[in-house]
Amino acid sequence: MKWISRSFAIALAVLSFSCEKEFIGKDPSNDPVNNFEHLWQVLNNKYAYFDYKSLDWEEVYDMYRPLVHDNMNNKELFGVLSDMLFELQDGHVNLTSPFDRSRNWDWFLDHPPNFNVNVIYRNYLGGDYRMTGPLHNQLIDSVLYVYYDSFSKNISSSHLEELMERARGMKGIVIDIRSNGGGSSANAVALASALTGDSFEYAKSRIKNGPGRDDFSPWRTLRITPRTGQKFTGQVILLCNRNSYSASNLFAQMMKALPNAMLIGDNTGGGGGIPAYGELPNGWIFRYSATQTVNMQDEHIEHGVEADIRVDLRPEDEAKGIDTILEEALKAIISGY
Amino acid sequence: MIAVLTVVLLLFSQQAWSQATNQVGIGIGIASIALRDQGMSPLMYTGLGYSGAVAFERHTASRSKRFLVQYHHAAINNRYGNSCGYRGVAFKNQTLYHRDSGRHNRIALGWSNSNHFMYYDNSGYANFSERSNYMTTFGMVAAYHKPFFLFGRHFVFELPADLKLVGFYLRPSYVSNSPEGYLDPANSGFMAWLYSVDAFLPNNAWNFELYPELRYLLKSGNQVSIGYHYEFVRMNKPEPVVQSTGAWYIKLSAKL
Repeated sequence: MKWISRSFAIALAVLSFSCEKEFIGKDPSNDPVNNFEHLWQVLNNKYAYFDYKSLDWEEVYDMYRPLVHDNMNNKELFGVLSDMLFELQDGHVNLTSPFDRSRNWDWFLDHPPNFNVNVIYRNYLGGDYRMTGPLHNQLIDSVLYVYYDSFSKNISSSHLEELMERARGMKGIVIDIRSNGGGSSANAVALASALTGDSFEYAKSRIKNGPGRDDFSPWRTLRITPRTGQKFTGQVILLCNRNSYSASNLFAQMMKALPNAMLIGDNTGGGGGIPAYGELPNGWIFRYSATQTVNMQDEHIEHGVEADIRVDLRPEDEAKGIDTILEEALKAIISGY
Repeated sequence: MIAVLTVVLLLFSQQAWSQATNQVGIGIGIASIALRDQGMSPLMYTGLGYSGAVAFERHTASRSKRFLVQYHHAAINNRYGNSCGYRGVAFKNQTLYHRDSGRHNRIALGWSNSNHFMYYDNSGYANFSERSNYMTTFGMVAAYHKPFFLFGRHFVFELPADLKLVGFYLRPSYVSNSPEGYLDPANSGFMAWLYSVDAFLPNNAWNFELYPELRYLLKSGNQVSIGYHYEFVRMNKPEPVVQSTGAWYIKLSAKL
């Protein structure tokens, strides 16, 4: 009997229920310096745009590291880390703590809004527009106007089938993604696949695959393949402003490459990299651009896609309930640009 | 050639003359998982979940074989509350060689193979939230076997220890869940796989298992077992992942 109790005592002592975590070590120290070092190091290894932005990250370290000390509180640490991340000038870079989320929104705050959602809903969509999933649409003369406020809202095949049915026989489609801050690129691909009869290439993308500045995967060409089911292959006009970001930026690049489409309004805000995420020893979550995207001419779209026709929303029009940019798009389609 | 034929014939004859017993067992239990994937977070994620397994065992006088399909499902959290859904599935087999000593203590030695896939999805990350690890490993196993009687009932205590030494593994690339070889569009399916695998060697990866089990042998030849299965996994590239899993289980085995 002795050996039984001995064996089980050893087995239970060594392999008791709580022992699993003992074998993989403790969490790293949660002190301000360690949190700073971790954030700086992960970005140093994985951020995709240092070279493109000519940013000396070591210099940033030298600037901010002396500001971090063991006696600072969480809000002070958050302030220093946020300021450091601000240097990246990237809308895809954030630090999220329980009390705040750092961001750099200069990419649209430094530019005119060029969009008034009340004008759109009151004077263009009206009371009888259709909500085809997230695609709010209305017939305006012989044009189908589609307002899509977030690529986070999923577009299904049946949404597209319904929208394409409504577009049939129209002179053109106006797709409005002004102030659409992005979401899932899958929705951008789905929408673009309904606007072409032929496959087309629109961009190239690569991802960080090592800690070096030039450690990237080979470029992968991104292409749109027409969806099965109804498509619209007539004139397409995309309305953008500086608050069209991330997946909107990518959709704008798709439309830029589509022969029957053009961009009207302002340049998009950018956001060419897909953000990846990480955690600090104190549990705060951060994100950063981990991929690069270029157009077919090898130009980065991190800082936006250029409008084909640059139009601003005139304040005097806005005061009268007129959307200058949408009017320009309607005129272009009616006149057959 | 003659020697090879002799060995084959001996092995065959031994099999043919041995009286084999086959058993199939189903186990369920509670799993405790601790994970740290440096590519995802410096923080440890831990949690409880459930564990299930189906085992087939074949015992002869000189050899015991075991095939095991294992599944773990758990919600794991870091100490700040961010969570991952965790799933793991493994196909394992081991062969133990021993003397015919069904009624006595023995230590058996043999070899083992494990094919293990782990998947977890970080709910706090909107992109690149998924992480998958796969490994195929081979190693040595040693098992202590102690039959005994208690209150007139027949029990067996077993304590196998299994150390994997060689093999290969596939891990997410530096940022994406796609292994490195799959990031290059020029790679075909096989070449992508080839460029993705890393050698599982002691300087680079570890896999260790220990699973004490107490079996109650019924007169019918069926068994009821209670056990604890501990497994430790470490893979170093591209960034270290360490996982430590313990599962308490009850297993019912039927003689075929």
